[in-house]
Amino acid sequence: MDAQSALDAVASAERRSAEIATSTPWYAPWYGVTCATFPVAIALLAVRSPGGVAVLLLNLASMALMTATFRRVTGVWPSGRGMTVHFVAAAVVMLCAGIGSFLLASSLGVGWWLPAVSVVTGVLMALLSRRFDIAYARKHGVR
Amino acid sequence: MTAPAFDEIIHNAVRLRACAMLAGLDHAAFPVLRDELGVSDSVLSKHLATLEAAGYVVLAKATSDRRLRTAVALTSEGRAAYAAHVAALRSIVGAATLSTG
Repeated sequence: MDAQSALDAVASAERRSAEIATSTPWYAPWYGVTCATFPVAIALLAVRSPGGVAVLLLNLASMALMTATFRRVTGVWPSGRGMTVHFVAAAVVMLCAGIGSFLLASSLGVGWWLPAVSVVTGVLMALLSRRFDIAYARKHGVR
Repeated sequence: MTAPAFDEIIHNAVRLRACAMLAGLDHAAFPVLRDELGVSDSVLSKHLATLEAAGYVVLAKATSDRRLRTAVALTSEGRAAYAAHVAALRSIVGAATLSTG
């Protein structure tokens, strides 16, 4: 195999694996909904509601089921190399949602603000997941 | 910047495409690689064994739903060798372009 043919084969295979890894349109919404339960769990735990543990367990179960389903459907797991900015952004959003919910629940109790924080967290995390897919696909040559 | 280093082990057509598929992934299931590369189980096993012997891939076997599932991943040595090989291919193509241009 000559060098140019080898490079063409490399580009094609890298592109194909990125297509497989980003072929699940359901992942971002599911991820968003799962993340939206996190501030709810923190707020309920902050006011010592027994529902907090249940919501946290639901969050963890949903995350585990989502990753297992992704692996089963695609047969791959994308590498996070070169995607640090996306992980940092996701961590910042989740940290802000968690700390914000804890402080608001501690001072105001559970109220109108919680659905708003939950929805904003979910939408932001779903958008970040989608941005990750787009950046990942571009990085590996998918147009 | 990766230093170019042509690698005879990686350069085989099946192994090169397998490495290229794995390069952007943390791991891939054996059937995904087999189907995408269009080879049989035995052919892929043989090539993966060659890459594994070189320390370029690891094969993780796990039982799920009473079925043995194999996941394949590039090692850090494999990633480095693959990157160096692709850099070598680019330098060959670049040199050829310069000499003909």
